[in-house]
Order: sequence, then structure tokens, then C-alpha cells
Amino acid sequence: MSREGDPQRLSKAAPDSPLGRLFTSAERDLPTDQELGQLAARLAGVLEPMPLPPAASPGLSLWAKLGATIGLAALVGAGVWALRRPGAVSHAPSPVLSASATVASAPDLSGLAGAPALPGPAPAKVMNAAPQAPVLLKQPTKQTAAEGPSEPALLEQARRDLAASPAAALALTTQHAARFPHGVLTQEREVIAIEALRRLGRGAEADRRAAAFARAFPGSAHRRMVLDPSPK
Amino acid sequence: MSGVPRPTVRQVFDEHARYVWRTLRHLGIPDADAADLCQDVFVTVHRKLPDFEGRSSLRTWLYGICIRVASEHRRRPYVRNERPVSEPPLEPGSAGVPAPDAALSERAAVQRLLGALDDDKRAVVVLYEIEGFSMKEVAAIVDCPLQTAYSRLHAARELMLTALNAAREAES
Repeated sequence: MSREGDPQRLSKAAPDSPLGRLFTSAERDLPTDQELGQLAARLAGVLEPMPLPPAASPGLSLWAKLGATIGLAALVGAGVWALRRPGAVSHAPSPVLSASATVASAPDLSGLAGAPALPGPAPAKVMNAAPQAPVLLKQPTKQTAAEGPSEPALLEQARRDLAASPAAALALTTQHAARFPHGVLTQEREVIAIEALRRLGRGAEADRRAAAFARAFPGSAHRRMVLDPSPK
Repeated sequence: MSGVPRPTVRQVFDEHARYVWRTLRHLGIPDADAADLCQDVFVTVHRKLPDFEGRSSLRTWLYGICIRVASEHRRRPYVRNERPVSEPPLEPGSAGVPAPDAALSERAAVQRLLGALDDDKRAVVVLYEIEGFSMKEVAAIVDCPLQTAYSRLHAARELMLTALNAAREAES
């Protein structure tokens, strides 16, 4: 932001001058989505969750509530970016994946609490239609080892499954939504789920979920990727 | 911070990470180290954000961290002694100015020109010309009087232009 008395910036005042052109070029010299995603993954332990809203308003959708608790890491986003690169290597599902997660087909996420974005006019209605939703919402975010993999481990597994078995990856994101309705990796879960839907050929569903993601997390580092279905 | 809710590290990251990365590169951090240094910046943000009192804007505070992280990195012995062979610094007016490669990207050209500046001038020109701060903000970030910041900007432009012209003459 400029102020009175400051000299004119060459990229604005003389964009065709040699230095003006170079400064304009420098302004465009931003990291790629992949670089940014990898950085977010490295900062997994640093990016803290947003504080919870003081009180849940009746009209607030579950997605919006989750939006207020977005997670501390883009642990998984970098992997998704990597998978979307042309020529990316597919990974076979890991043997440690629990049997309950390796479902053959992707469940309908719209009926689960904490899951998808549920874009559209009546998300609350869909949420309410899920019989297990009230129970799931009461589950704690932290899980003990006996209850299953940790939140990051669950999503890392989902990310690894994306290429070889997007249905399994999608199932794991559903599992994540159920076990960690207020998890700190909500954004990363959605990134994986959206990519899984695309890989399953459920483009329209992916687009709706991506649009909801963009609304819920307008400042997210993943936003551009989920809105752009073309591989980088 | 009074009256304004303190952002989370995540929010700071989402809003500024791209520009922090860009700034570090233009402050002379090689591409290979940019992610590491960017990580250092946000680790510092994580550590110090609770103490951020809002006396400056968050962006000014953040870029102050960038400047310090980049400066500390360049002072490390193994970095100080490195001379990248692919992008030698451009010495304005010297006979050793490398002939510009036709295929050299503008990005590389910017890096070379900025590399010809000392750290103080480089920081001012990056923050003002590329990152869009006001000169008052630039002076605050680099912690110098406003007039000094003006002088550095003027000198940096002159040096960059001289180097650019010299490179073009060498080419022709």
C-alpha cells in the first residue's frame, strides 16, 4: 500500500521500462500449489486450529461449525497434489488399513455428520436425517490407540489409498468425519474426499463439495486446488 | 492486540504464505532452501504470535520475521561460502558481467539484479517494489529511518539499472 510522498513503483508507473517489467515479473513469482501444500504438510504441528465459536447458533450448519475448527495441518494436501501431477505413481493400499475402511464402494457422505460440505439449500435437513449424527457429534476429537488410528494417521492412509482405491480413500474420509467431527484436519479430509470423488467419476458431487469447501474456507491454501479439477 | 481478534497461525499461513515464500526468494534464498526458510518463518510465527501486541500491522510484523530469517540464513558459514555457479552475482559495470542468456527467464534476471545489491538495499527494494509496502512500512520492517529507506531505494534502483544496462551492452 502506497502513501503520499512515496516514489512511484516502477511496475505501476513504468511497466514497460526494463526494471518495471522485471518487477512485474517478480510479483508473479509465487510458489506453486504443490510447493505450498508440501510446506503446509511440513508445518502440520504448527498450524493450530481456529478457536471454536463462542456459541453455536441454531441456523449454523454443521459444516460452518466445522469451518470454525479447521485444522492445524495440510498434512494430506501435499500428497494429493503429488498424486494429481501427470505421471504420478499410484500407491497400493497399505496392508495396515482396517477391514472396515476397505469398503468396495463409496458411501453416501451426505448423510454423515461432519462430512461433506453438503452444499445446497438444505444441508441442515440432510444432517438431521442422519440417525447417527447426534451421537457422532458427541464423540471426542482425541482417540486412543485402542480406538483406531490417530486423526493424522487416518487421513494419511486415505491419501495413500487415493490413487489405487479412491473408494477406500473416500470411505476413510467418511470414517474420519464420524470419528473426528471436530477434528483439526477437516480441510485436509475434504481435499482427499473431493479428489476421491473425482477419481470415482462423481464429478458433480465433487464440484458441489468443492464449492462448499471454498465457501467454508475462503482463505484456505487448498482452495485453488479443489476448485480446479485439472491436474497440475 | 486490543479489539482485534488475534489470528491463528493457520489463518496467517493461508493469507500470507505465498508472499512470504516469494519474499524469501527475492531476498536471496535459493529455491532449494525456500521451503525450509518459509517453515522457519511460520515456526517463529507460531512461537511469537501470542506475544504479538498489534503495535504494527500483522503483515509488517510477519515480514520483519522474514527479513531476520533470511538474514540469519545468509550469515550461516556454509551459506556465506557458497557461490552458486548457475547464477553468479551481477557486478554493475564490471567487465565480468555474464552475457545474458537469451533463454534466461525474467525471474532469473530479477534474482541476479537483486543479488548485486547489499542486504539493506535489497530488502528495501523487494518490500517496496515487489511486495507493495509503503515506504513508512518498509522503514519499520527493516528498522531504519524513513529517509534512509528512501536513500536505499533510490540507490538500489540506480544500481539495478546500471547492472541491467551493462548486461545489455555486453550482450550487444
